[in-house]
Amino acid sequence: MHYSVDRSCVTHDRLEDEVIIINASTGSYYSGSGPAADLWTLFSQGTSIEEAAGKLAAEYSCDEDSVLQDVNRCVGFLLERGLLKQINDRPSPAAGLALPEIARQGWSAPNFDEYTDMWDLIKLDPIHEAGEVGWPIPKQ
Amino acid sequence: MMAPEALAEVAASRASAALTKRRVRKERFSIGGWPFQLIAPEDRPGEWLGRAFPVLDHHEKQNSADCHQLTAWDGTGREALPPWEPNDLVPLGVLERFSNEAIRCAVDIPTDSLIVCNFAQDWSLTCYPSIHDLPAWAKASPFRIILSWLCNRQGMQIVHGAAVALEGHAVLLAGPGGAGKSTTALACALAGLAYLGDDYCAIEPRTGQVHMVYRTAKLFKSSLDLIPSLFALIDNRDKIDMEKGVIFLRGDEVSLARSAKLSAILLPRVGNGSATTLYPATRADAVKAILPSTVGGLMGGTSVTPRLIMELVHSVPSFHLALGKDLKSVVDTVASLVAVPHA
Repeated sequence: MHYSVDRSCVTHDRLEDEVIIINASTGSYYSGSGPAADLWTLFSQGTSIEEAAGKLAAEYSCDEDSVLQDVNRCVGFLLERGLLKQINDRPSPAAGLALPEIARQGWSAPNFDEYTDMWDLIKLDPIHEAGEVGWPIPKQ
Repeated sequence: MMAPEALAEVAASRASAALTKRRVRKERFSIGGWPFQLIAPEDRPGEWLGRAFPVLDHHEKQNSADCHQLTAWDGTGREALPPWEPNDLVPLGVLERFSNEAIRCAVDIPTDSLIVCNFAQDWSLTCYPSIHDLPAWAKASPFRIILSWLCNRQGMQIVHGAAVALEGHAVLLAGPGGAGKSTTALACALAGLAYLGDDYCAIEPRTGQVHMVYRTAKLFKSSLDLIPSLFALIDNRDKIDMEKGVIFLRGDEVSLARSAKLSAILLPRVGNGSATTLYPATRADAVKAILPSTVGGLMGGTSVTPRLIMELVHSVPSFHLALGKDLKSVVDTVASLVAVPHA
């Protein structure tokens, strides 16, 4: 089973060692760095959990079994948040998985910070709940 | 089901039919050098939505080169009825059923207006229930959704933030409503710094610049109490107890800058002391200050929004700005930072 970014509601990008991911449907955004940014980069290429673990273990020179456990946990988080979707095949399997060539620290379990502030603005009905001051300032 | 192209054509023909009965004004404006022409009714005083934009100089105004045509109309008759069903809407307002690569349709929920943008043919339409009856804050920052989509295509991102500049170098003030962006920006402008906006500005990471989008300012009454000299400039003085005061700033009142090189990002918050203090912020702090209200207020942004915001926070340092009660201290602190370009 491969996973890919759910492009119907998710926008994302990576710069150097960081990724930002926005889920416009839920109004949450996520940031991650290091192993989290690398894992996200691999999923944006349509990888499977096993392929990702293998690639990351090689990149970070560490034990593939422990990486696999960390990746499994993180995939559960990303699926729950609606950021990934299951796909049947990687879009371009011949191309191979690629990660940017940057200096890497040691392996640690991938972790994304979750921010739900945006939802507070989006869920605010500007017609009925906003004051005369105007959205996004709620009525006092 | 109506295709996006068909909906765009219906909206365009309704706009055309509605505007033939109206006194219409056309004027050219620009954001960061990207030009657009606004075509909108001006039947009654205060109705012209172009009033919110900085006025171009004579040479720029006379430029007849093709540019984006941004048309607005209003009404409650058949020509203004939305050609969709209520369940076509998605939470943020984008009408996915009527959107594709070439056309994007949405409803701006705060103003209950229909937005149709035809990227392929470089025109867009906005239909309001009543332009005249729009709240003052909406007249002060019109078309922000369309402009944000179009700016994204030019490598710019409209962000929720204020900006002021000194000698061509600017700081961006970012944070939630009530953090002190407008008060800081206007206090600085009155002290001689150039003003680029207090609510929405356009950033352009490729050139490292920040650009004015609107020449307006919106102030809580509490801010007017701090800077009472601004009261005379308020456009909606009669409603100041009910809504934010809106100012349409002119170049003879404060120095207005259309663009400046960005030096730093400031994250203001109301502090406890009388003096204003400054201390370093992380990139994550800056993203947290800029991204939620920017993306929340611009229908989720577009696919390039995360990249442009990341490039912004990577390009300049960020600082927390704990605002003191002494406005002179606020101005001096901001001015000292603007004057020193940061690597």
